[in-house]
Parts: sequence; C-alpha cells; structure tokens
Amino acid sequence: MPAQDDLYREVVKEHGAALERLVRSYEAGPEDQRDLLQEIHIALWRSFAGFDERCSLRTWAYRVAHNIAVTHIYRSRKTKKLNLLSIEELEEREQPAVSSSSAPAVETQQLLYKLYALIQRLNPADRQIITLYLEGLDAASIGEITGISPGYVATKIHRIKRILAEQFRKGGNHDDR
Amino acid sequence: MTTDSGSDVLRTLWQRQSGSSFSMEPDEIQTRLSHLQAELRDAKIVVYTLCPGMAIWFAYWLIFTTQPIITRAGLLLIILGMAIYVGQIWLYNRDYKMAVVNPDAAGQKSCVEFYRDELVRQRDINRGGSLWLRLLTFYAGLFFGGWEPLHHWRGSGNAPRAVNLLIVSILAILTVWLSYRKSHKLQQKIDDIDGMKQATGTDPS
Repeated sequence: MPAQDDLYREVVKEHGAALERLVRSYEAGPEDQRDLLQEIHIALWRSFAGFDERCSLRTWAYRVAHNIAVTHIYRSRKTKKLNLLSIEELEEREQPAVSSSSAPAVETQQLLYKLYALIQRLNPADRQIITLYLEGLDAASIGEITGISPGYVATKIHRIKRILAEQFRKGGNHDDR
Repeated sequence: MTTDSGSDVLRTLWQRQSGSSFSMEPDEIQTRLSHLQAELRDAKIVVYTLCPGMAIWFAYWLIFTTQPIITRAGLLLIILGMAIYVGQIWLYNRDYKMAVVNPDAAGQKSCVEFYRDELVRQRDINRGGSLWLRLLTFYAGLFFGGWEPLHHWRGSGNAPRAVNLLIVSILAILTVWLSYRKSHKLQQKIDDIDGMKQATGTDPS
C-alpha cells in the first residue's frame, strides 16, 4: 500500500484544483476559504493513515473534503444564522441578485458569483450533489460519495440542471438589453 | 438554449476556474498539527484552571462561612450543575474529535451518514436526559441558593424569595424553550435525511 505522504501528494496533484472549487462553494470570504482549505488538507493527510482501498482515492478524498467542510460550516457562527435550503425550496424563492453587464468576461465572472451564491444557500446534501455534478462526476460516483442512491441523485441533478439553466438564461438575456 | 447545454456550459465554466495550486508538504502539516495541538492544550489548561478555581470558591462558601444549610445545598447543586454541563460538553467534543480526527471516520462514512451523525450529536445535547439533568441541578441550585438571605445582608420578608423564584423560573423556562426549539429544528433535518434514505432504499443508520 502506498505511504500516507504519497497518497496525499497524489490527491493534491489530481484533485487539488477541485478541492479549491469545493471550498469556494462552502465559504465566501478569501480568509475563510484559506482556513477551510488548510483544514481539509490536514484532514486528508491524516486520513490516509487509515485508507484501506475499499473505495477509490477520489471517492475517499471527496468524502473527507465534504465531511470536513460540512462540520466546518456547521460550527461557524455565520452559517448558524443562515437558513439553508433544499434545491426544491430554493427553486420556489427569489434568486440572489447580481448586477447586469454586457462585457462577456465580466458576465462570465458574474455567472460564477451567482452560481456560488446559489450553492452557498443550499443544505449540505444538495450542495454536495451540485458541486460533484459540476466537477463532472456521474450519478453513480456521486451516490458512492454521498451515500444517496444514484436514482435519487439523478433526479436531484435534473432539478439542479433546470435551475442552473434558468440562471444561465437570465445571464444570457443581459446581452439582449 | 436547452437545459442540458446551459448546465454543460456552466460545468465547463466551473471546471475552468483557476486555482492557486495550494498544497502543503507533509512536514508542514505535521508542524501545523503540533501548533494546533499546543493551542488546544493551552485552552484546556485555562479551562482546567478556571473550573477548579470556581469549585474552590464555592467550597469556601460551603465550609468556611456560616450560611444557612439551604444556601449551602443550593451552592452545592450549582457546582454539580456546572460540573455536569462541563462534562457533557467534554463528551460532545470528544465524540466530535473522534469523528473528525479519526483517520478512518471522515473517509469511510458517506457524506449523508457523517452529516447525520453531526446533527444527532448536536440534537442530543439539547434535549432529553442530558438537558434535564444539568437544568434541574443548576436551576434548583440557583433557587435554593437564593432562598435564605445571606448572613451579612440585613432586611427581612419574602419579597427577595419571590423575586428569586420568578427570575429562576423565567430563566429555566427560557432555557427549556430555546433548547427544545433548537433540538426540534435539528430533528427535522435528521428526519429529512432518514426520509430521503428510506425513499431511495439506502440503509438507514
């Protein structure tokens, strides 16, 4: 079995960027993001002492990262004040407002901000599904990481896609104005 | 633009985001861990100094002053109530650390299971035997402790007792209400997870 340090380095090399994107979906401020990212890296390194290869390295890394992020935000005073929603509840509510712009690069950035604002309002289970979906994972892999059946994940993804597409359309409409 | 293409564009956009390529060397992690453990040890020293300090102060009242027996019993109950609360927090933190720091736990448990465990830990400390044990002990202590006027105080009558009873009752009712409201919210989240697991046929924990 590879050593703890080697496993950690491999995960950082393969999924380091994904971990940073994951952190941005949990914390808004740069300092909070850095704290959480460090916490996840430390937890990952420690966790590889007990890695038994019963699941893939990717599944293990995503589980550790999401589990640490969830406990992190649940212990944060800022999150305690927020009312986290399910994707269905979010669909019924007004979406976070972002000012419009005609510049494509700025609009792309705004779209990302809007996406993060939307994700940060979700409860942990839905937040995990959406971020893993955006990372390009299929329903079966998301199911393995989250512990939710692939069928249920697929249904959730379908809803998420609809909301994201609606947001995307709204963003695209700015050009027509 | 179709739903799928819209979300696929976002998926591409999401994955194209630049990162700072953050990484830590194992040596650096070990150094940071040592610092964190040292900070935790310092915090523990403060707690372990503060708690016996308060206990000694109350013990002084119990042993070396000539307060009425009901006041002494009240102070004893306050010490007991605080000790129970500190003990419960210690147990909660121990379980939390075992779940988060334990090398196996965070990677072997699915996200839903891990999240549910955290909610259950938070719920249990806010309701049931755990809540009533510390609540009854502490508030009974406050009530009895304030029943008899202290020796160096002058004055008589039942007015101070009525005020004491009123304040303690309001505080106790408020504590119960807030704790149960919080535990109810946590239970709703746990029920949502269990409902989701049952609906999708995955094993309930």
